[in-house]
Amino acid sequence: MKTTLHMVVTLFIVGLFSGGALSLVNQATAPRIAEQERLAKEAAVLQVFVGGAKAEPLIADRDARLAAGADPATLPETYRIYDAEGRELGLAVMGQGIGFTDVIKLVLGVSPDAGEVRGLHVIKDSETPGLGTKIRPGSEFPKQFAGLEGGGHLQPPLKVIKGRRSGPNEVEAITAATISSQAVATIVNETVASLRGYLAANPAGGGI
Amino acid sequence: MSKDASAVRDLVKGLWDENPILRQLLGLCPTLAVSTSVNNSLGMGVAATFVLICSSVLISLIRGAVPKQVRIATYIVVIATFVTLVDLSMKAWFPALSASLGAFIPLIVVNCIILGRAEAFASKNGPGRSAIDALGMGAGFTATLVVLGAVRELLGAGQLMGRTVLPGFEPWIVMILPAGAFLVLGLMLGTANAVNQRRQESARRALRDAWLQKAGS
Repeated sequence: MKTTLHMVVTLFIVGLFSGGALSLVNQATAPRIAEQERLAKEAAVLQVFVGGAKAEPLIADRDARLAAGADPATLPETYRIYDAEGRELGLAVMGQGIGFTDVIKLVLGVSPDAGEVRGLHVIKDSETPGLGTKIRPGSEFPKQFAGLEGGGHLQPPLKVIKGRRSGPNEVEAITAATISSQAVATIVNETVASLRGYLAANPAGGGI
Repeated sequence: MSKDASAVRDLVKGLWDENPILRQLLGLCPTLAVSTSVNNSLGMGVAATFVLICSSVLISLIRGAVPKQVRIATYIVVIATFVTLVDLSMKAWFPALSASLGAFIPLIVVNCIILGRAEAFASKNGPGRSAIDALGMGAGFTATLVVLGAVRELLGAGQLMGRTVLPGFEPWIVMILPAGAFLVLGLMLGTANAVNQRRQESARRALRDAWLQKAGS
């Protein structure tokens, strides 16, 4: 009986101190973590366009419409991107989907009519280190989305191919990471389809 | 003298004689998973060492008060708390490192090295010696990870710490994959065993020679 009490009390005290320490640290770090995530997203949204300096939400009342029960697929999270002189560079739209192991989140840069891809920036992934992680910024794979060798841009819907591309709707897969390449292409296709659907339903583009 | 000597022994035994990976074969899961590059190895090693030192000291301090029936549960709660602290702090102050180590930090909770040192050392020794022991074990873990990571990064990507050092080298992709981790770790374990065997043999020979000499005279 005495031992049982001793065991229960010990575990209770250990749990109490652990819970207290965690809640203190969580309180101290939560605002910083949220801020870091916001900064990462903001930087990614601007980085999909060379010279991107300012981002403005395309759908100003998106949060309110989502809260009212609108389907998120019809309201893609999109920003108009301007350069330092205020010229519009295009739209940056957030996309996500399932990769090889877990969710891939990315920002896609497209032309103002969503006809061409202008840039790709993966924000979050859990792909295989050294293989699928080549979808991340700085590798060869995302460069195709910024512009094709010999001019022109990718035009969704995209198809993943192994080897050299022969048309503007073909993406060259990463060697030994076809599934990750395919996952990115699928996310791009779905995101562009969603954005094109929104733009077709709201010809003014503003939707305000 | 004996106190200083034993402190030094507590520290250096983790580097080779009781190296957690090469001699005790503990913590192999994170070892195989994160050692794809030197930077990942360093990050994992330093984070695990920090958790190891903090939890060893705390467990040593409360070792008299914890009934032995619930000691493992207590250790796990203490370790899990420190791991979460490290995870949150890294997310808040080192987002880049946190992004690259991602899923591996929570794995420190089940890293056998930390529970192993708590059970084998910290629960039987004072906080000072436990901290020194943890530091030595952490250093041995980190050093082994870095060597493993360097070999894999060099052969698997032609790079070291993210910089290309073998231009024009066709990377062996298998080295980045789990199979490469098993191959390199196996070779390292074999080398460590060979070195230890040779050492033991020469010690035995020295002992025999000394005995023969004594018998002869």
